[in-house]
Amino acid sequence: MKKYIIIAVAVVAGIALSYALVSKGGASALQVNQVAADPAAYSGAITVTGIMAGTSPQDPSVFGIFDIKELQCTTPNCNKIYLPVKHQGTMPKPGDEVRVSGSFVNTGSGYLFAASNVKVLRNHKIGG
Amino acid sequence: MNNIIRTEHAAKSYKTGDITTHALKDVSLEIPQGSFTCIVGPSGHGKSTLMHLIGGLDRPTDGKVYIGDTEISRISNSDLARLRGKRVGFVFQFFNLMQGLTALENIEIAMMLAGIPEREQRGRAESLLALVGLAEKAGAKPGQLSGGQQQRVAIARALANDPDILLMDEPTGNLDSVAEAEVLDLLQTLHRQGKTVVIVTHSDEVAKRAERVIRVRDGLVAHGMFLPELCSI
Amino acid sequence: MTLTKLVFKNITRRRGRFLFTLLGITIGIASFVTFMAMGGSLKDEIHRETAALGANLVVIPKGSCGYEQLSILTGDQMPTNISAAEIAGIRAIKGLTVVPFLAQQTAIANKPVTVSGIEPAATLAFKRWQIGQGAYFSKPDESGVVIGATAARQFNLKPGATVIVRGESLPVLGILGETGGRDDATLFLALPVAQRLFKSADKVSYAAIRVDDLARTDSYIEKIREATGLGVVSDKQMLKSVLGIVGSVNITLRLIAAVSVLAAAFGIINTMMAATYERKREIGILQALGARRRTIFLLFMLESGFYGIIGGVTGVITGLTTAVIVTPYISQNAFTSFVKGSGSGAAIDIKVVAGSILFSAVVAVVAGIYPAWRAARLTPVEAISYE
Repeated sequence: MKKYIIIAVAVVAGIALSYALVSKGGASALQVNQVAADPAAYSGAITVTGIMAGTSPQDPSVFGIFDIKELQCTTPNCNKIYLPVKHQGTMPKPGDEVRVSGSFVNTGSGYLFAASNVKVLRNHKIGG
Repeated sequence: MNNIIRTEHAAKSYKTGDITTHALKDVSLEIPQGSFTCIVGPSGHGKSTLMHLIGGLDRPTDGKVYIGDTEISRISNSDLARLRGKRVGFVFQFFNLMQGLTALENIEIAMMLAGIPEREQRGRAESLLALVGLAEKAGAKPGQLSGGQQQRVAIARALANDPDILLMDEPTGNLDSVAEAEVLDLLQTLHRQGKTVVIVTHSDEVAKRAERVIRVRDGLVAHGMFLPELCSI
Repeated sequence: MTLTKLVFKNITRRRGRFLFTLLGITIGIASFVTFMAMGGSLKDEIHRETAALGANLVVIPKGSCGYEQLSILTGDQMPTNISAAEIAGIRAIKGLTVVPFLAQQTAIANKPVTVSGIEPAATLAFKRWQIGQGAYFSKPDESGVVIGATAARQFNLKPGATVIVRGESLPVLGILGETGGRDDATLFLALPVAQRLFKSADKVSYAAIRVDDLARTDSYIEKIREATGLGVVSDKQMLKSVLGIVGSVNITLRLIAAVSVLAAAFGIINTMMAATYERKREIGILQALGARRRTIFLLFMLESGFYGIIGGVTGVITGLTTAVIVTPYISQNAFTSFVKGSGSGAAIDIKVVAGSILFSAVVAVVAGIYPAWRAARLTPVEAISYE
């Protein structure tokens, strides 16, 4: 009897593992530096994660995010790339690590990321 | 009649700390092939030690012990184990069988160690169980068997490698008289089939059935043939 | 009845003990596997990528931190701050072979792909690439892409197919042979084409340099610094900085994994010692039945080995599950960017799985040596007389 229980547990664990792996593969979030290099290459809905830098002075519903890896860079050569994200809901705060889901929109003068969902994961202290 | 077991001035002593115990002092005896012998004597006088020596479970510290034509005091452990496996079948007083295995499996282990291929084991084990009258208990674990039944399975196992010699240490010590009688009938049957049976025992019943008696006292063997009635202590 | 069947029955005889010992091994191996899946083999990967770069010196914009040097190895997008004039200045120095690179990113089927702008002839020679399929760049500014073997396989691209980079359609010219490194997952463009598409004017991201005479490396570094204002690091220095960033996380995890495995090993020793002690009588009976010392030893060693294998399998399953569940909660950092597969999630490396199970078995077997030896050492009389 116990033998069957052990087998059953192993099978369930195996299924859970495969499921987790398969679904995780699809939901991997992209980095700002990756998408900003060639936004046109991304179609449909994607998820990008980055750090909120601040809102745009021209349009308060747009905020910029930069790559998480840039947090470690403190030299003037950093060359942070900012991705503009348009969002209708509550704005995140500067330093927030966010996951934005949505798609790129060609505004004619560049690409804008129209977010359908903004999730704040945690906050990082960034200097001025 | 040739002797299947022979000792010449065999002695065994142990050293524990500073004390040396002489379990067996000077034993010379012969056990003819096909005989039924019982070894008797008070507890602690060396009966079990003698049995260990003639069964090849231990080596003498002095003198010689012959199993068949092989003198065992100087052969390697490996060879001794092999000799045991080929010629001797043991039955002990307690805890003979491996607890987690069925009666059949217990016998199969002995066969595995004797090098009998797996596909032959089952059939032979079943016939041995039948021989001891426990064919229907093949799937039972020791916990599900009575004392007498366990000893009979142990005897079946001792026969697994088709040994010439059956060595038993108090095989009926834990059994009631009915069970004891069952076991003894079995042993006499085996004896009649040509096996050499050697039993270390306290029991009158057992001694009565023996042809020969070896008396051990204070690590020495008392020579001469004793009448079976005088076997009891 | 065979020895293996006996071993299996012996192990499972005591359910509780079996499960607890197994749990110990599972946790130990799971830690080890989680560590590996999350980048434990990082150090080796970094060494490998640095070697694959093929450079003795690397030229980077002045003031770059170790983190940027990491980008060279990870194939991340890098700023283009080194001008053509500066490259020419370095080329003027005798004894150096200079190959510039432009590091960018694009995407195919929404999966990020590294793009590298190269000088075709120079880079081919420098990296000693083999062409797997199709052709290579025939002109220094040819419009088209050459793809690494893994990327071609992943996106099912063959010579003649089309790839869109920054909105422009480019034909696939050829596919490189496998290199075993990052280049396999990279798209290569002719430098002028890349510079045009990514609007970098005449600039590049970094340059890899091979020196003719290693003994004069320091003087070369000086000369480059004088000729340009750029930062120069030797491959060893780069290795050090990169390992420095990534190293500390690595060590903590390694320590945890090592301790867990050690604890599991002791768990096995304990269980097997207890088994030896409790089964003395049984060992005696087996010896009386004709088992040699060798057989007893083998019996106990097989038991340990079984624990190792079964524990290895459960450990691997647990470890991979943990890695998959935990990874999203750890911020993306330099560390995890090394996970191969260009963003396809947790990597189930068959080698890691098989290796972990083997490792578990080996640890268990080694842990089992002493108890097995103790068991085999018993003489039949000692064993049987044990009350």
